[in-house]
Amino acid sequence: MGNVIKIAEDVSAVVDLVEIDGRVSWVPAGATGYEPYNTYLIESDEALLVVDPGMPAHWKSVHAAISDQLRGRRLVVFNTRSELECIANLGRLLDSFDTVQTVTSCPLNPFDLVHRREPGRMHPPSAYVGFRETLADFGFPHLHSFRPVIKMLGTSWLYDARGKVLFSTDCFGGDYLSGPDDALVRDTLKGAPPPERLRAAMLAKFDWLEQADMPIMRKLWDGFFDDLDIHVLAPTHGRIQSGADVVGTVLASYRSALLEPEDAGLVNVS
Amino acid sequence: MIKPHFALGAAPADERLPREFAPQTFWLSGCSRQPVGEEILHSHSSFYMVCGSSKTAIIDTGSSRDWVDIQRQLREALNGRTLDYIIPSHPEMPHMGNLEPLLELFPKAKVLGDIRNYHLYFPDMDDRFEMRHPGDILDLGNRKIEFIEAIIHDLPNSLWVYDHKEQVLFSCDAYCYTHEHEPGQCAMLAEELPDEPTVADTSFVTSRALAWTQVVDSEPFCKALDELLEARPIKFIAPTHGGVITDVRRMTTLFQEGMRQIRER
Repeated sequence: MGNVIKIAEDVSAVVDLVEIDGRVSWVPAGATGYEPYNTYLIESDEALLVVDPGMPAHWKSVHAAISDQLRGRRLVVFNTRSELECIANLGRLLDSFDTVQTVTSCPLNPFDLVHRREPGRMHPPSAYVGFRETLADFGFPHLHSFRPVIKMLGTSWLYDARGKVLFSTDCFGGDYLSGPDDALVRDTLKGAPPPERLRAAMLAKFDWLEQADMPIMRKLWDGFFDDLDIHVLAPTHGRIQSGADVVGTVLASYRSALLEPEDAGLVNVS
Repeated sequence: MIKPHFALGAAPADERLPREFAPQTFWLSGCSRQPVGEEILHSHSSFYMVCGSSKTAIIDTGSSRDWVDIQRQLREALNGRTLDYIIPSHPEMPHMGNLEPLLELFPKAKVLGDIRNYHLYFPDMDDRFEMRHPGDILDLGNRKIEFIEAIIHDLPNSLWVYDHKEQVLFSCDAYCYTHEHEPGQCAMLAEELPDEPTVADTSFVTSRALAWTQVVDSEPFCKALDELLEARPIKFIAPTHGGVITDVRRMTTLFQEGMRQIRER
């Protein structure tokens, strides 16, 4: 059973570890250790919001944490993208709880993506929130949906302006645990992964980045991150990063490794 | 005020599907309905069945949304045979959303492809997944299909498939186009539609489905497509987000121009 840890005010992470064994496409070759898988729960007085219900290997922990924290409130599920490590548990969740409000900024309707084994439970239609809009209609006016700077599929990032948490889905997950007892949240830069690891982890998923127009990417990156105060970086997989200084340094490392690789000495310039 | 999701669910099933567009080569599909401006557009979630003398295979699985009609289409295309292989081009829901019920419906079927991550998604079915790489051949009896590199893809763990016998390229997210069509037109080949797909059609869908095309030079990908067409005889292109294409050269030019226009915009 996974761990449930508080990462900000009214925000907790349900974390399960998977040993890295070369069978996961977004983990770069040569990586070792354990990869955390994170589902996030955000509380308000009236509702409990789940950011991506995750995948079957994670379901027991997610189900237990939701059951424990729901306490009669409305259950809302925000889906960041249509890959299975985010959405594979949605059918199970809809079969396990009543009146679940699904909401997304993705172009695919979540109800089009699931199989229900117990379709008797009734739920309201899926809702759509545009980029730069909030989830105020669901009891979370401090949650903002954003178009990601880096994405592969129809994807959104979610930003909690109260806890200053960026839920970055498949971005910024390149920090793995050496052993199963390592800290699930990084709050110090000691032992932080080097830039080449961060670059390899991102390119394993976003292979197009190597060929991208870097001036455009840097403009997009700076336009987004210069405006946002981030104290917690919360990816779907990979270690959570906490603390304004840690997050700032880690993001600067990612920027350098991805968007200025020659300056960082990570690619050969002929 | 809560806004309902704009995707309006499944379009009515088209009874002309499955369509045998080449001998023992079937197009199966369902369409979603989505408003674009004042109009409601259909958008394909196509997948394909290839039947050899000894084995059968499907490439992609269709959308979960269309599962009820997909079962009918599978029965008709299989015509009493069983399904031996399921080949999801990549692990994204519109391409493999029916994998779990398919594995239950066909308990001896194997899943072939770049199967990284599948043990996380289907932990109880790990023994039914077999890794395949570009260049690997699958023998279906009197025909062979080949796993090839997905020149244009979203997820890096994508593979295309080439059918040597009927010369079909199964191109998953490439060569996608959407096209306004009414019920009854969902099963039309690209070249049978009253108005053929345009550069704008392919450009629109590609820029949305493959967002990286907005920030990456398309020329190397256009060149790779030309090289593929020179290296292999291709009579049909079978994409996921569109119908079957028979004028391969013309549609390739259209698709390439659509990619170029994304960055120009």
